[in-house]
Amino acid sequence: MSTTEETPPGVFSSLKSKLKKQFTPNESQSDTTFWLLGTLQLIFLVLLWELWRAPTIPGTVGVLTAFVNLVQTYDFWEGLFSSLTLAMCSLLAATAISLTLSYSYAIPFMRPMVTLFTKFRFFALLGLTIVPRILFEGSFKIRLSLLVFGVSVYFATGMMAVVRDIPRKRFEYLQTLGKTDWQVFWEIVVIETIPHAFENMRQNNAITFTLLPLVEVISRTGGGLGMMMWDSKKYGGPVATFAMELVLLLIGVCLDHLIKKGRLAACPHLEKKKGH
Amino acid sequence: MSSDKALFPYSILKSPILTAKGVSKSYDGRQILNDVKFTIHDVVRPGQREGQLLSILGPSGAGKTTLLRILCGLEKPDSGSVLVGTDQQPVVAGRVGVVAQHSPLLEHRRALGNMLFAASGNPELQDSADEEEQAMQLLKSFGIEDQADKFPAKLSGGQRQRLAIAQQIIAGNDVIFLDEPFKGLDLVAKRKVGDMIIETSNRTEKTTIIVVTHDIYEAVRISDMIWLMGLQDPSTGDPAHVASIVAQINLMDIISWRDDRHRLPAYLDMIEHIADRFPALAGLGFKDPE
Ligand SMILES: Nc1ncnc2c1ncn2[C@@H]1O[C@H](COP(=O)(O)OP(=O)(O)OP(=O)(O)O)[C@@H](O)[C@H]1O
Ligand SMILES: [Mg+2]
Repeated sequence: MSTTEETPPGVFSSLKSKLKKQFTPNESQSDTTFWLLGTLQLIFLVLLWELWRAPTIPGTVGVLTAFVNLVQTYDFWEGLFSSLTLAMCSLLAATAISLTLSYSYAIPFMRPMVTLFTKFRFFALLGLTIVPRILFEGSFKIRLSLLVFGVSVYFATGMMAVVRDIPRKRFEYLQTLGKTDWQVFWEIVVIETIPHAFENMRQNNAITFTLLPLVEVISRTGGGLGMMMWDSKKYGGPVATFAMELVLLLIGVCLDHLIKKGRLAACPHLEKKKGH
Repeated sequence: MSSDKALFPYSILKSPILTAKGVSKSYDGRQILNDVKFTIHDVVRPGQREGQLLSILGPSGAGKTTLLRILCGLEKPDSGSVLVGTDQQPVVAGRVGVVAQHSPLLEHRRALGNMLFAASGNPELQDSADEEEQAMQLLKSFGIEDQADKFPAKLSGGQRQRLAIAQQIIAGNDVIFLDEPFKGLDLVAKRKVGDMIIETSNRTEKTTIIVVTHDIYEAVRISDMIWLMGLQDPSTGDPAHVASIVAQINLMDIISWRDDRHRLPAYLDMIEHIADRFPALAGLGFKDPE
């Protein structure tokens, strides 16, 4: 602006410096660049898929066609509704159970029990189907209990570590303000860890979507997208399975974004860092 | 006691408010503190509405923070005891205030929220209107009333420190320990913090501020009295690796008028005196060892 005579830098050299920035470690990045690069990279991936896929693996056009066909069937919407109901109920229940368990890690008496619970993530989910089958009537309860168990063991592990690693100084600080043990517990263990709870919930959400189809398949009854993927012959073969995967992916990503927004809304003290 | 009278010719000593009795502490088999003993009295100076400002001065790594934690009831001594209040009860955490290094705050609450949170534990404040009024008044007297709506992460280091002190005051603590309030500051900033600490101690007659520091210059400038913590065997006077209180200096009797005390020749004499006696302390007022 200051010197009008100055020759504008060549388009080439300005592009070159911009590109160079994209390869400099820890350099900042604008939202526009992020999305532009992201789109290009996605196109690149799709191209790779198209060029290198084995003939038996569905192609993009096939999957998109299958998707369009799928959304016109009643079975799809019924399956989707069933799966999403299961996912949401599980998300809520797993969050409640895991948070309760993790917070109670602060209480010495509960510590061994909570630790034991987190070790249950080494259980094979498949073999455990027997337990809810005996305990519960109805396939929904069986699937829900399996999914909640499968997710909670991970969520509780992550959140327990957060509670375990709270520095002793934080507790002492509130003690010097004359707070009672339970006031300290509430403020430091529960309130101060809310950002971590949201972070863990995002993982929790992702694990839910990973396990959801598996649970639907191993529980055998009750339908859902998982069963439809398993029985894909009825719905158009592997292309339909891929289309359903795409649907779950999109829903999962949207929920992930929602939880991220929820975290910022619940924790206004957090710096609104860029990142996705 | 006659010896105490000699130390306080111009003031009236009342009952003790904090007593350390033969406090010793080891970590992992290494002794840090040996037989630390001193008494803080409730001092009333006729005609003056001032609290007390005391310092525990010692070289870096001597065990000042360890002692402070024991005096506050956050840590148990291996032997000895700490008694607080006019009733001289064993100290428990929360009986006395403390602002730890780096001024911890509740990061998820705004400045005013931090104050109100601390105020809710103070039985002297009747209702929430009372608490809020007191909170705003304190923020104002610490010069941060315009920061009331900010989260601690958005405050400067000095503002954080003042908020942390204000928080201890509104929690109802009359005796407040400050751990290294001058650490990492330049000379001018130190002076500002020192003045702020003097003002804080002058808020009410009941207030007693105890600064724990390795900064000779500021300690001598602002304190009524200094306890020197030295790495010395208290019985023989030989150098040792164990810290204890090796001297008590009543500055009020030696250099009065603390507002511009640092301009008096006696101020520099005193610094020389302390530095001579404790070579480990010399120069630490100007440079941070870490
Ligand atoms: N929890 C602990 N476990 C083991 N050793 C400790 C512990 N806390 C302190 N120490 C040791 O006790 C000694 C005194 O430490 P302290 O923090 O009290 O010193 P300080 O005088 O406050 O030092 P500075 O001026 O640097 O703050 C050090 O040698 C330190 O390593
Ligand atoms: Mg220290």
